Amino acid sequence: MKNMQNDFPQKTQIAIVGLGAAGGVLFGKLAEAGFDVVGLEAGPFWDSDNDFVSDEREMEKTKWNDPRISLGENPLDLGGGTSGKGVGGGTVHYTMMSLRMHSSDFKTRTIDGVGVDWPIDYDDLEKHYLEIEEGLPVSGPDDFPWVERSKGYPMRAHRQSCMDARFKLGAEKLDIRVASCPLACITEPLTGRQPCINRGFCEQGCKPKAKSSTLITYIPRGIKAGGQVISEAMVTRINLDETGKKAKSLVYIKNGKEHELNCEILILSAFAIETPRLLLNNKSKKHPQGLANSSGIVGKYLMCHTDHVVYAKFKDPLYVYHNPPVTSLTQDFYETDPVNNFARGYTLAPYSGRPISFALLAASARNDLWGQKLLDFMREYNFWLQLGMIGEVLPQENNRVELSSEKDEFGLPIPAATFSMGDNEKKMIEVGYQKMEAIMRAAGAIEMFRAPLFVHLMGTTRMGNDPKKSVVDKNLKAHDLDNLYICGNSVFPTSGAVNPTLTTQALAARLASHLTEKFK
Amino acid sequence: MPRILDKNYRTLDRLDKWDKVTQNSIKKRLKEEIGAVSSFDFLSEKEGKILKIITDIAIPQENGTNYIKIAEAVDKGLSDRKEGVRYGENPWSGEFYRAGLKAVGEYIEKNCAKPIEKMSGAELKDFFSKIIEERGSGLLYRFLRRVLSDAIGIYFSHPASWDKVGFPGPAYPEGYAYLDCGEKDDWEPKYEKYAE
Repeated sequence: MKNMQNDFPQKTQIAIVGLGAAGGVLFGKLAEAGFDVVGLEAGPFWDSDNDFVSDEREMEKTKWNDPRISLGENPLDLGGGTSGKGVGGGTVHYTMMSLRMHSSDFKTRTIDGVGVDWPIDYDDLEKHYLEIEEGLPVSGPDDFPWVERSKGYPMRAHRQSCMDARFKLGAEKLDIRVASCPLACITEPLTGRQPCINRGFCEQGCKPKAKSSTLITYIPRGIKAGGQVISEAMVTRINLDETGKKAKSLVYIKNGKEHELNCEILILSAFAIETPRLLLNNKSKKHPQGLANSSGIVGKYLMCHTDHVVYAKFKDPLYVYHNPPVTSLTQDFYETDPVNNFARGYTLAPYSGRPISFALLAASARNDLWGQKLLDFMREYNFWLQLGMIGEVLPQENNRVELSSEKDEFGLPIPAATFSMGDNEKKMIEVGYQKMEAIMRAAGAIEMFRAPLFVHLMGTTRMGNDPKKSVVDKNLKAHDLDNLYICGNSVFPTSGAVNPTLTTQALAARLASHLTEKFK
Repeated sequence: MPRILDKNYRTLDRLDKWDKVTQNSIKKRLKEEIGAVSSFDFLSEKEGKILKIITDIAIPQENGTNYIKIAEAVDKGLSDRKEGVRYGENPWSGEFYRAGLKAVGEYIEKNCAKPIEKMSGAELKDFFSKIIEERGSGLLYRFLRRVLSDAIGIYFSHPASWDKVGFPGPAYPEGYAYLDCGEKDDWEPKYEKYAE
């Protein structure tokens, strides 16, 4: 269902900028709560049947390709797999891993003396995690030993494959616990949606609609409840009222024309680069450092995860393309361990890449994989398994998003992101590599090599209790403004060591409940 | 070779099993990117010729009717627009390619006895190897890395390449029924033998 493509509203109660993981949930829940809601999305409104193709190259179109500049000692992939463009955002192409953060993640300063404590804790989010897991729904195992849950997963876990069996074989020889990975992927039929058929192109948009992206879950719910979507609409400015304390309207460009939308409440859910970019670009006399930025923190504390990989070759073919990207994992190394020389930890999971992503990462890691040697290596594609670590990256003020002096096609400053690893990450990666190699060796690997990689973007508008050290409060309201909320990965004060999407969505569910209680 | 993939396996034999949208996308790619050499749009013919020499080193192919026109496909994706991620000092894509090709010419003029068009296969490999395996930080290294990445993205998006690596391509609406080790659906590529 597509709506509002030719009829542009002048005003609304709630405007949401960005309809991805967080914006999608907010759109659905707030419309169902009876608010008048308009969601604006920079990219197209995808149609799973007619726009999605079982093909790596064609589906690059679902990723953010607007200009961005990547700087620092470890420049990050700022578009690609980290952010989506189009209704559903990154949930259209994410791996579907739906993992809760651990209770320790919310108190790393208190427990480990690193990072910063969140202004909320695990108990504040537990019921919202549960709500999202049921709303998507998430399929997961009966026993997930690392996280305390008040209730089981709503749908049985995804099938395990040869890749999982090989990982489990190695891990269990070393007394490492393994579980099925909770996935935003249905394993039983639901109305209008087919259970997973193991087609494998999950990061290329799901054609059977097994993947619980917001494109096919919360956003249709919001439209059904009266919410309006304006796609291919790039928000360029936020106008304030005369007090300078309230967002009055936003300006967006669609089909080359400027439109203005008045709103009572504005929510920015445009991810870790576009949200700070919009705020930093809204300078005024009352907000000389940009909107919501009296602290000077907007854009700072950009985080990612280490996603470093060990490629392991086996004597027999594993046919990893059968799988969704990730279907099992261990979190035995998640918490700080005194035997290590670093704080915090990581999640380990085998990953199944299709040929292009598999070849690209391997060739980037090794000097010799080009020419005939690359082709010979790829002939054994089916005999390799990639084991990856999602490792916590600590927040550092110098890792940041700023505005460059270059302009894009809308006349907006192109964002520049700077990232350099700290010592804690370097030490963690080395230990993680060794652990992954030990597991693969125990599983029978006959050849291995390492491939560095970073993934996910978080931080840049962190939440906190102190207005001088954070951008939004614990209810995700900007400290500086009365009606501006920010929701998404950008509010994370620390990264945890899990894929961020489920936590982002739980935060969105919590914000929707808060706004409903406050204004309804 | 301990691992021999079924040489008769052709992903395209199953094209009619795929959904129509996927079929059309792959058919279009085959029509545009396989076969006789076409012209360059963004790069000049001279720049295009040099790029083709480089992509042929990055991904060697036999000339003929099944040749995947990697250089021309790269060219189709280039423009003067600012788009995608620009890393560090690299210019935006179109400008990066022009500057990189110029740097290739300058390097060869300074370090090699003959122009790139007259270099033998072994000489070209030696040039590529010297730059890429030294892992420098200069423009030439960053450019060859970029060409290699772009070439990989194009080459491995073609059914003939999938046949060579043992990837069966699109799998919708069928999906896979067999997931355990040693199991596969009967239409997947087979290995004649693979034990060491």
